[in-house]
Amino acid sequence: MKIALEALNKHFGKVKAVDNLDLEIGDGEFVALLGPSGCGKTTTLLMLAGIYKPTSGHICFDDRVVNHLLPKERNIGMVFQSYALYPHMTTFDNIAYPLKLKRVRRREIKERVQKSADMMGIGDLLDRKPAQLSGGQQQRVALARALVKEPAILLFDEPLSNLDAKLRLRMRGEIKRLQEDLGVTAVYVTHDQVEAMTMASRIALMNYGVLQTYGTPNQLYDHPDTFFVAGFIGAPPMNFLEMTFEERENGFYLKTQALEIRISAERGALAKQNDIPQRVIMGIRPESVSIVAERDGDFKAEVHLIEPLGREDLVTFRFIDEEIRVLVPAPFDGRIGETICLKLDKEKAHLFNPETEVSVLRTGNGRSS
Amino acid sequence: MKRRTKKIGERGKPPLPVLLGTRNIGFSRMRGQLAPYAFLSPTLILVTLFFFIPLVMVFILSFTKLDMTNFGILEWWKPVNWSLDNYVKIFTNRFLSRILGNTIMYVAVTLALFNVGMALVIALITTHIKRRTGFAFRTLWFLPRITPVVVYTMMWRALAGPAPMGVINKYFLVPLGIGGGEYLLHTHPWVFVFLVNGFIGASFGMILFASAIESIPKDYTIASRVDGASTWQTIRYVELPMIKWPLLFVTTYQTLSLLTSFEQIMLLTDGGPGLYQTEVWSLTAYHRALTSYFGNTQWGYGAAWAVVLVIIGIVMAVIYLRVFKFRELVEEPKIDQL
Amino acid sequence: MLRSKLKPALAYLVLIVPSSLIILGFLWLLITSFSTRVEGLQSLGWTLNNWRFLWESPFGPQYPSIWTVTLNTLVMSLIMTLIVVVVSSLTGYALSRMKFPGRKGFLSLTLILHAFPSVTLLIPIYFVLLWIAKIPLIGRDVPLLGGFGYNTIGGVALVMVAFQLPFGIWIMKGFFDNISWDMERSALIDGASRFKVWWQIIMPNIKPGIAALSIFSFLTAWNAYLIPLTFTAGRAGKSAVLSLYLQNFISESVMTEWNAVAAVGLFQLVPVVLFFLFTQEALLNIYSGGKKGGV
Repeated sequence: MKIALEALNKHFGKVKAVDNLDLEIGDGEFVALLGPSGCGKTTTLLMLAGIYKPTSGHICFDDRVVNHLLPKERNIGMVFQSYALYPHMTTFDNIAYPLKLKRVRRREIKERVQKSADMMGIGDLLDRKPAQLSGGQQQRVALARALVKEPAILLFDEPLSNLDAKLRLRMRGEIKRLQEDLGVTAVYVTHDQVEAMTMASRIALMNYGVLQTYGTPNQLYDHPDTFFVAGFIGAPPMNFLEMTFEERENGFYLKTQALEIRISAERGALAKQNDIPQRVIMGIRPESVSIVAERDGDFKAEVHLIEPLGREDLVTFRFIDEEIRVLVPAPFDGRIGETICLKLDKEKAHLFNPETEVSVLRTGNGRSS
Repeated sequence: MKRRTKKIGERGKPPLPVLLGTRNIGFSRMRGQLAPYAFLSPTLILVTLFFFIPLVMVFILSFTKLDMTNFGILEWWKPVNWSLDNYVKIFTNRFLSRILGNTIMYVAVTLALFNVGMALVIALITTHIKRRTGFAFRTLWFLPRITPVVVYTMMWRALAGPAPMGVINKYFLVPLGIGGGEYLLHTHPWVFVFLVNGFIGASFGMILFASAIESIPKDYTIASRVDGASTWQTIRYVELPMIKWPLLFVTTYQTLSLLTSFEQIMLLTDGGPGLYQTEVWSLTAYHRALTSYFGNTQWGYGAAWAVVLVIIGIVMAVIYLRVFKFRELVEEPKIDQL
Repeated sequence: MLRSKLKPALAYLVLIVPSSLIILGFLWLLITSFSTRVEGLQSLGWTLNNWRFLWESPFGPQYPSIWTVTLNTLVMSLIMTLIVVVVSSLTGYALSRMKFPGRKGFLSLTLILHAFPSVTLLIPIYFVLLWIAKIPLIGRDVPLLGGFGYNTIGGVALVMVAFQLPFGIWIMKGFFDNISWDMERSALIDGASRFKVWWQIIMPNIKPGIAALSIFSFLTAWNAYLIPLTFTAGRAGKSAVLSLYLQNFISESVMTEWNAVAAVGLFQLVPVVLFFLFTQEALLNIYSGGKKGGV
């Protein structure tokens, strides 16, 4: 089922929880609503579910406005962060509840509950109460309950945040596979960008109730529209340096006290076209910086901190008043206090207007190059 | 972003058939809007039957001279027979200030010493001693509430009785040489009004406070202990602040309870022993309306006393609600009615 | 060191001295019920005569026996408890969990209702009950209850329900406040109506609250005096309850048998004391937790 949100608003008193949101989700797509806590992503999800009534705007399922449909009329399944299992019911009764309310015949209920429970690998836990299940098992019961009525849309509200790291990784894969197998449209709320990146076909990044950007994980990672997107997506996060933009006869330059880099004529021209101010914020991902021999380097910096991550080491360098974090292949053989030469991959540098926080490298269609 | 060109109607009036299966959207939506009132309806019916209709009747009666002698003759529902005479009579009554003073004293002292004070002391102590002992004490303090009020007041009269019958006189005052063994209810009626009502009132707060204290997560008290606080400091700085809301609720609720209660005083002293010595407002209303204390039962006049009391009660309640900011405490529901 | 011991000692003193008054009082009551006369706590002659109401009707055969009256009291208390719990939890649920215009006002109103003195409303309520008695089916001649009109167990229970409601609603609202919103949302998405959510999902999860309010209401009803006295005709009619039965022994014309009053009073008291002993643990759940505004 397709979903379209049009100029959607939700206000709680004076607080604009969701501010003029437009979003289209294709049939069978897996979309993540990503953002820090309080950004309006859960509110959006609850409006989709019919729990919250939009202050204004429209929610459409397959071109039908559903604003006034009760949750039960929307044919959705939802999985909650707290799992929201009914403590007084057994696993079987929990999963069977949606079917019982639909007055499905007893035998069919039994079959369908068994089927979804088996699919989630909890077929032998049907007579236990939620309190007797582990967190992971409870999560599976919640999923089975959401799936049993064969919904057209699956909604997830941070379903994995109460699980331990290992289990979370496994469930991530399982949910993704399940969604693809069933071909059901899924909207997945999370504050964990890794989760969003790995699971979603598209990510809607929100902040303060406003949609910051909407695109595939790669688009968001490689071409962030705004300063917020650039900083939020990616772990370890992008480095930001305040720099001065200069156009000279032989090209475009960015400089600070410590370094000066030249950017390509094409990107420089694009930046100019987007009214680049003199002072800009340059962003560069930790993997776009490399350690080089002295003659190839852009600048020198002192090793400040080394954090081994296994395959790579995350090294924090200091130069003058700035810090920059670099991912280097492990093992990093430098020592703390050592001075090392660094080179930036200029084609992967991002430039933002510090006033508007918008990328000055964006092309006409709104997507930065 | 590409705008959907399909026209979408005015907000709240979707032009397309919006339901997936059912057609009766109007009914469905209306049912959603009415659901809260369906839940409220039993209360609304009971409140209408036993609070609003009676209140309106009392209000009307308070302007009439209806009593037992003219019942069935006086057309009390006709505005012709209405006047402010009853109210004039109340506010020119020479015992008004005494009754008002008595009421204030009765409510304030009983509330402070027993319904809140003693209740808090018992709750705090019984939750800090051995569990079984705590339970025993609370059971003991619950006895006055569940004892038939007639028997309960009889028991207090026995306690207060003159020597040698009275328990207090016989075992405490006389051996210690205090007083002359008089009937204490005659010599100190107010003390017993406070005691009799307070011992019943204390159990209400006691149960709520004890329950609130028990529901404080143990982590807090343990943390406080680890920080080196004494029992008293733990109570003062951890537990009392955490039972603030039950404290406010009990204070409010019991003020109103006391203001309107009179059974115990009626059975104990009936406003005596001196003229209007322990008469409180609600008892006056009862006396005027329902007993032939001074001749006829004056329903109209009694109703006027009642109406003034209702107004005092409402004003008190509204003040409490304002002061304790009850409205701000009410959380917004996190599910909308569609 | 002395100071630190003084405070607890003082606290215990504050508890024990008044407590001893209760003990003395009830000791006196017990002794009196088994005595012909007492002086202080000293019996001047032991007797079982005061308790003879248990095996013979002291006012003649046309009056209901103590056991009929006890059954009446039990029925009335149970009915009142049931209605209080159902009505308070319906209203408490709506006030806690549903959005509607006037919600806060209604909540304040429930508390303000408590400021309406029961005494002042007694006469008009009498008329209301007479009016209900005229309604067919529910007014009169309902088995066991008699009906909901004047001079019926149901009618008395209904009036007591009304006076108990403000308390019940606030207590129940507190319990609903503490239920997870996600659980309720989940049930709505699963296809339940608000009514089904209330009955099938929420109510089973606030059993401690239901138990606590039930116990409190039952104890209140069992002991009610003024309302049954006012709204049942005659103290020994077929809808008499224990607190009125007691009234039979107190008469203005004949010498009151205070010793028998003590015995009947104890008879009325003992079952509820036992009840309280066994249910106190559950009653202590009446406060629904740390959330502000709950009660």
